[in-house]
Amino acid sequence: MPALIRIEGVIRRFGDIVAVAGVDLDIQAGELFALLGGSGCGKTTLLRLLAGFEAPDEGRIVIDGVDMTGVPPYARPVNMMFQSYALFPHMSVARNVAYGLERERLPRAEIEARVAQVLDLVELGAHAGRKPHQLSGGQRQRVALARAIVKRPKVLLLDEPLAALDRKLRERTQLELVELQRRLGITFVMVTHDQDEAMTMATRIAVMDRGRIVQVGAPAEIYEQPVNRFVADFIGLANIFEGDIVGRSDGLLRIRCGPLGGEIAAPAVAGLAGGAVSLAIRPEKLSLRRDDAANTGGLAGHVRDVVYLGDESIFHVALQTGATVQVTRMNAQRRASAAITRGDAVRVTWADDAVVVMPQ
Amino acid sequence: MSATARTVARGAPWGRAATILVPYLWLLLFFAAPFAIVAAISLGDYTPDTVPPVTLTWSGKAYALLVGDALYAAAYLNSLRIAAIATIVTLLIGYPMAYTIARAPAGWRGPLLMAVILPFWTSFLIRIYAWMGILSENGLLNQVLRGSGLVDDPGTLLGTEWAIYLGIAYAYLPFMVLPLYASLEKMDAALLEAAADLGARPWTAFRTVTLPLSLPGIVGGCLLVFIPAVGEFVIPDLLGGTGTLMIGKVLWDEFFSNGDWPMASAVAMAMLVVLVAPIVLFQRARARDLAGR
Ligand SMILES: Nc1ncnc2c1ncn2[C@@H]1O[C@H](COP(=O)(O)OP(=O)(O)OP(=O)(O)O)[C@@H](O)[C@H]1O
Ligand SMILES: [Mg+2]
Repeated sequence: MPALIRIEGVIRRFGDIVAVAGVDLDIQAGELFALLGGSGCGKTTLLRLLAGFEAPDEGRIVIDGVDMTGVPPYARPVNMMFQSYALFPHMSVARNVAYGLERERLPRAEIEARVAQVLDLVELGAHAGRKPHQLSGGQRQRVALARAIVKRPKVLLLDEPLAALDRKLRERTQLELVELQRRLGITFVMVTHDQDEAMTMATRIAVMDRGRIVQVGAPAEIYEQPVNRFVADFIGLANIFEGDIVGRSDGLLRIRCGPLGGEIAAPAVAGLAGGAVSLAIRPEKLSLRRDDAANTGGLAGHVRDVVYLGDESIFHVALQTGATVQVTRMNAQRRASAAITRGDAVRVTWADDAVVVMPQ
Repeated sequence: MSATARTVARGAPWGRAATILVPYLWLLLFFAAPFAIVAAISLGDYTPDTVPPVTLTWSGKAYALLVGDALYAAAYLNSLRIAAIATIVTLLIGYPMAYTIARAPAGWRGPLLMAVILPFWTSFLIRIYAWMGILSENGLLNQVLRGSGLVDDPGTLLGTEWAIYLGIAYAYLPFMVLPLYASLEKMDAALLEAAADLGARPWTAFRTVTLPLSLPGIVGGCLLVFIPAVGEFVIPDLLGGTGTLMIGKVLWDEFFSNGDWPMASAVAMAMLVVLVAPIVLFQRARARDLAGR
């Protein structure tokens, strides 16, 4: 099946700044696709290129088989939900939502019916007559959403749709959005700098860095198999070390890594056969045991700090090799009698396949 | 910091009273008092032999004349009509200007606004005289028109009502541009993008978003041009024909040619009423609109 959205070699410059530095990307119909990256990496610019507010300096964008070069925003089969919502302040909620349908010159009765239907969908039917400034932030967000989906676009572009909401509301709305996306069958392309949000909502994630896409994949793929140090560091917590490939045995790479106590084994990665590499181990894939007669394997160290997060705790462990690692443990029991605390001598172990090898 | 704050706090009641008092004092001294004097004179009798030529009698003879003589009503109506047309002309010229400035790169806006205000640095009278030179029979405009070979006999603008519209539009343009600019500049550019995104072509987006949101600027600018234009004397006198009847000119004649102080004052009072009524109504409507939101 051909991709619904096809971005081919797109470059966008602002003076000396290259906001989008050569992006190739295919997005399939029905996806909830997230563009994830740090501030200023070009996420918004890429979204605006899709909406038609910016034109690529090089490359082209094809949506649903039609080359979008030279097609103005008002003629594109996409709608955008703006980060600032951009609701028309002089119009009521209903008029805001009706605006896009009025542009299509639909019959009055149909417009009213569809507006009412969408307002019910976002649970704002009771507020149809209000002006945007009479609404709460969460309600405004839902008006913006209603206004963007009422035209039933092929693609809905969302620029940090939940950034202005407080945490509780944000988490609830994330799930509502996913649910809505499934029900409507509209393809969502969402910009976010919040990795939890991307992991929670997206079917696929593109991680961006300095105008480029570094990795595209399902959330689990990006978390478990980051392609480089940047992705490993950006998504979740990671213990990252430098090492050298010294050999291969039984499908495992032998890697020399001083901070991890000498030579370790790691799953082989296509294209990496020798030389300097980076290693990443997620903190939950390290295990922590008391350093006593019963536990002898792994690396010795002592707990320098414990960060209690409620559901889990993060242990900062100073290894005898001189390195410091972070280890997370679920707080499965309310009061663990054998709880490890600050200053305790511990041993840190991991499975071979917990180690991700990446080019340096 | 806290010490300063405390000092200010202690000085506050007195300071606040003073700051409120100053504008009231100003109003009393330069508006209320002169207004009362003019009102009193307008009710008096014209006595050419006294100095000043007025006797305070509260007779209100001048008002009787004002209502009785059709000339005055005609002058008021004509003034309102000319001012209204001139205001529309000014709006049509000023809106695109304000829009362009508001959409210009940030660094350009200051200088462009300055350029709009710059003519104020030359004397008003000199600028209107310059327009006489441009619009007269053998003036700059006609020379250019003839020289271009497009028109043989261009006619003369000077002395027509169009010359007045032009003069008012020219002289009052900044009063139109500044409020328009203020309302256009604070409009979020994302609103236009949202409109385009929802399928509005540029003109539709302008009509449905920009225009309604700049309405306060339009009303403000129009009032600032319309009100002084109604009483305008210099521009119709210099650029308009001898036949142009405007209330400013009538007032001038009553005062300086006839020396009829009560009549001149009555004309001025009536003008105030004519202008105040729409302003008050407008303010009421706005207040209601704000409360209703
Ligand atoms: N209109 C513009 N003119 C000049 N530079 C721009 C313009 N728009 C974006 N940029 C620059 O392009 C780069 C990418 O901007 P963009 O808004 O796409 O980042 P972003 O990933 O959305 O960041 P954030 O998470 O902070 O919103 C930034 O360096 C920004 O300063
Ligand atoms: Mg952004």
